[in-house]
This record gives sequence, C-alpha cells and structure tokens, in this order.
Amino acid sequence: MSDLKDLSTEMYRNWEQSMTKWWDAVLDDPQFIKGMGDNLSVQSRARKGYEDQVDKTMESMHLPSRKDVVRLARIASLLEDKVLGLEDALLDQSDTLARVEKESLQARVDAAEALVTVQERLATIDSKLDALTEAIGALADAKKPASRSRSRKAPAKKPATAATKEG
Amino acid sequence: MPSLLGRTAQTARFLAADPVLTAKGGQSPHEVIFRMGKSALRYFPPAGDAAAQRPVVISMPLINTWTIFDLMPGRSVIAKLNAAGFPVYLLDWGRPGDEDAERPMSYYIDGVLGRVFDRARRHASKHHDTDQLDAIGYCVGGTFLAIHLARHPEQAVRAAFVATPIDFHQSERLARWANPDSFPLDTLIDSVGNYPRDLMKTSFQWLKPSGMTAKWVGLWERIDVEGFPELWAALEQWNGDGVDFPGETYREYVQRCYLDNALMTGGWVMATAPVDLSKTTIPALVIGASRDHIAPPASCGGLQQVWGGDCDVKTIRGGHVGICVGNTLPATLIEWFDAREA
Repeated sequence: MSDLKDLSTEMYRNWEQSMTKWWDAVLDDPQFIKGMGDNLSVQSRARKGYEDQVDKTMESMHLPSRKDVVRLARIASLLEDKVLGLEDALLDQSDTLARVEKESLQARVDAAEALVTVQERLATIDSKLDALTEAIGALADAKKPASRSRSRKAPAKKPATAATKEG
Repeated sequence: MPSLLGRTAQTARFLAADPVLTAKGGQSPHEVIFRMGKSALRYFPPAGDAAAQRPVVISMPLINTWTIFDLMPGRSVIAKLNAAGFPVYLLDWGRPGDEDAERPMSYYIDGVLGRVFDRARRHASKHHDTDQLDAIGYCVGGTFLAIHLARHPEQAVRAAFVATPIDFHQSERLARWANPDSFPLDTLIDSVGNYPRDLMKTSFQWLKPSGMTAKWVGLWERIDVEGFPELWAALEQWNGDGVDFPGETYREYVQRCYLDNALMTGGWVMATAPVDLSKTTIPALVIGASRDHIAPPASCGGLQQVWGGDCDVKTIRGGHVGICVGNTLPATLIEWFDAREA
C-alpha cells in the first residue's frame, strides 16, 4: 500500500510538472493576458451597470439604495475625522499641559532649593554674626577688666602727678 | 503509516468535520487601544512584568486579515515576539467598505500610520517607560511602512521589512500582468470602487495554478503528521477571509508601484510631499522568502538600493505566507533586533 501511495504521489508530481509548464506558457502569453484584461474590463462594466440598475430600482421603490448608505457612512467618517482631529488637539494640549506642569514643578523645586540655599546662607551669616557678637563681647569683656584695672591704678598715679606738679 | 485508502478516508473524515469553519486566528491575548475608521491598533503585552525589548509596531497588509501573524498557538509571530520581551503594537487595517473607496493612499500612509505610531508611542511611554519604537512591515504593509518612514523618519529607530515588494518590476508574473496595455486599472476602479477580495484571491491563485491542487494533495500526504491538518485548516480559513482593497488607494498603488516602479525610479509625489525612500537614515532589515511568487526576493532586495540607512538583507526558506507560520521568521527578527544597534 505504501508503494501505491508513492506511486500515486509520483504520478501527481509528474502531472503537476507538466501542467505547470503548460500554465506558465499560457499565463505569460501576452495574448492571454490581453484577453484576461478585456474580460475583466467587460465584467467590471457589467457589474457597474447591474449595481446602477439596482440603485435605480431601490430609488423608484422609495427605499434607501447602496449609494444612500455609502453617503451616510461617508458623513459618519467625516465626523469621525473631525473627532479624531479634536482628540489630536486635546492630546497635544495635554502634552503641553504636562510639559508646563513639569516645568512649573521643576521651577518650584528650583525655588525651594534656592530658598534652602538662602536660608542656609542666612543661617551661616547668622552664626557668623553670633560668633562675631560673641567675639566682640569677649573683647569687650577682656577690655573692661583692663580699663577697670587702669582706672583702679589711675588714682594711684594721680597723686604722683600731683606730687610732680606740686614738686 | 496509514494505507492509501486509510489516508484517503482519514482526509475525508477530517474535511467532513468542516475544520476551516471552526478555525480562528488572532487568539493571543491583546486589547484594542485605538481605532480610526476601520483600522484598529492592537496591543499585545510582552511576557513577564516588564518589557525586555523596545516596543515594536507591526504594519500588516491591507489585502488580508492580520491574523496570519497570530494564526494559532505555536504558529504565531506575535506570541514569539511577546515571549522574547517585545511589547507588540499591531496595525489591523480592518475591512474597508464602499465608503472608503475614495480614500487616497495618503490617508493610510500619513493619516492612519501617523496616528498609530503616535498612539503606540504614548502607550509605550506610559506602560514601558520609553518613547522609542521599532517597526516591522509585512507584504504591502511593509511597502506602506517604508513610504511612511521615509516621510516621517523620526517615527522608528529600526525597521524590518518582511516579504515586502519594493522593486515591483522584479515581481515576475504579477509585474507582467500589471501591464498598462492589458490591465484595465481605471475601468476597474471606476466601475467597482474597491478592488474586490474575490478577484484578489483569484488573481493570486492564478499566479501559481498548481497551488490549487497542491494544497489538497499536501493535506492528503500529511494528514497523519501531528498538527498539520489543523495548520492546513487555519491557513485555508485565513486565505478565504480576504478584504476589499480601497479603490483610489489601489489605483495609486498599482499605478505608482507596479506600472511606474516609482519607489525605485522616483518622481512620486503623494499629497504634495515626495515619496523618496532615501530620506530616512534608520537601519533596516529586508527578509525575503525563497519561494515567494508574490514578492520575490529580488523585488524585496530593491530596498537596499534606495533606502537611506544601512540595509541588511536575509532570505529565509519558504513561500510568501508559509514563512509567517514557521519558526525562522520570528527567530530572524529577534536575532536582528538583538544585534543591530540603532
């Protein structure tokens, strides 16, 4: 049985080969191609004639024809185009808004960072001022005992001066 | 190994259960985080708590559903990217209706892709703490992504293009078919509005007619291979679940890409701005599939000649769709994103 299968397959292959050769010659023949083209042309004209006739019949019966349905579908398509145009515009607006939002967020972050920097600088200045104040205070404190001791010594000197003057 | 008759019976039993009807792709956990018209931005979170990789935006082709990148468990590019730590944002173009027939190509390239990158970036910024994105494009989704990145180079840090046609004159049979003398582009779009999914499916089937029988023979031959019948059914379901290509966008795409090959030769002005792939400088990876008959490796490799940034080129084994359900594609993407500096 397997031999029979092989035999039938071989027979088919031989037949296919010879048919392919024959078809190749026919299908590439310019006259055949021209004939097919003419046939297609006649058939498509006939189809158009038939469809026009159907449309006229429907119209005479006051029924919507294919043309009417197509017209309505085209109107729907035009509306859809407009809706899509609006959708595009909305998406573009949404992109712009997102960009603006991102930029404003960045600006807020930048401003907050700048504020922190200023605060830090102020704090630094503040602490420097404190240090300065402390230093000045310390200096002043250091000067006070000196001036106090000077003022304490001065009365001792005075009599001497007086003595000198007197002398 | 089953006998000839046993194999046939097994195949018949499998097909009788209507497995294609029950197959359902796009099962990896995700949420829709943005909608625009029929398009949706789907977010697939990475495995684990935090993203180990840069988030990636995936641009899928307009001509089929996105589920080929999440076909079934074990066969999902998205699940593998998630497991490697990539947060994935996938652009599902949805199912354009008659009302979309007059939308120009710039609506998808500048409008939808522009907003998708914007919303993905906002989401990634909120949830993954990054506003940088990588990008992956597959098939026509890759072509659209390449044009978008050339017009808005700031959108991604790196980009990978999977089976993405760039040099359309290297697209073999598709390029021969898209011939101004034989392909009635204007008549077709003026008559039918959107390029019909059934016509798209038939065109792709006729690019390689043998594929129409080979898929059945393939199922019969591998009906006993574990997991194959389920994969076959999922692929069939995806393949049958096409979407209409918005008419005016199709007109501009075929005219500029297939007829003028303007991505290679230049001179394409879309909504007042030129389309010039040399305007971007981000690194790119081109992944071609060796047996791709829709975007052959030569067509994908064209990016290397016109891309403004560094461009690495890799070819992996498989077909245009087959590479999406194997392991090599996600592994190649992960390896490149891991190694390639932005």
